[in-house]
Amino acid sequence: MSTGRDAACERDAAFERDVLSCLPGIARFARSLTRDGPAADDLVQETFLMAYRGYHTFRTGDNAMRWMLTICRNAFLRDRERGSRFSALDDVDPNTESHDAASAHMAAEQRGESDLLDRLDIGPAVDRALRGLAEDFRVTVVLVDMEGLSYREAAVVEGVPVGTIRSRLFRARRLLQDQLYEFARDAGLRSASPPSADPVSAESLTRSAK
Amino acid sequence: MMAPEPGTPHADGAAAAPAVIDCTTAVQRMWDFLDRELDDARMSEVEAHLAACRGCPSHFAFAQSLLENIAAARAGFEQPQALRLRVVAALHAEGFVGQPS
Repeated sequence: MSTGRDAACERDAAFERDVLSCLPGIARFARSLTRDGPAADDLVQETFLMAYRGYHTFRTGDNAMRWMLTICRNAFLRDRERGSRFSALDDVDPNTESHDAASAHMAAEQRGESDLLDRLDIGPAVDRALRGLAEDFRVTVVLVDMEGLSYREAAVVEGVPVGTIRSRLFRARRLLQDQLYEFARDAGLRSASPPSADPVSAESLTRSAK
Repeated sequence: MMAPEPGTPHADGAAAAPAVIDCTTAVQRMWDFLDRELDDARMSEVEAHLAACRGCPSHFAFAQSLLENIAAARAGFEQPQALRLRVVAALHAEGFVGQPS
């Protein structure tokens, strides 16, 4: 016969298996939100305490990581009293961002920087660039590119439309791309030929790619 | 016999050939494609374009490389065991009976 203590043990074993295993991902997410080690640790602890207290609301079979990411996000927003703060940057056209990314790559090719990712250890540069992103962008990159959430899942966690996730993600990636090119230039790998003064348009990309 | 229009279902139920898209459209879909957020038909259209285009594959390859490097940056965000111990200790104070591991 199951006792109350047995039930608690079973519940806690399930919590440990399903929820506590999310700690590395939640820690990354918390750091992306706070950009501050001690504050991130506090947020992680608060997130797990809230999850434990509300574990009865978690349904077996649900995505525990997504549930935890949402709790973490809400805890952060509540702590910072940032209930609603959609920025004008959410108006970014994701299609334009894709073209700009390809255009920037083409310009980098012309400068001889196209293979920088193969020639340099850019890990530290990526890490630094990520930390330099505005919060909305950084959080979206962590959710999608590090934690592997789909656009729809990230939208649930962030409480925004899927289109906003695409806008933030594509802009963030282009900003990271720009940061990496800067890193390459700082590393002295810029070719002798000066870059084109004119930005590369989507039209020229289309023309030259064919 | 006339070939069906791209994207037109075949009478025998065979998969239709992907519609032809230009570079502008392919690049517009680049991130969605790499994230596998497109539906099957649009994925096939981009794949077909990349197979035939001389310019676009290098942009996609660079973008894919960027994504791999971002994913690899996860290592820089790893947390020490101390945080897990701290969290478990806080949970224990709430009545949690699980064991830290």
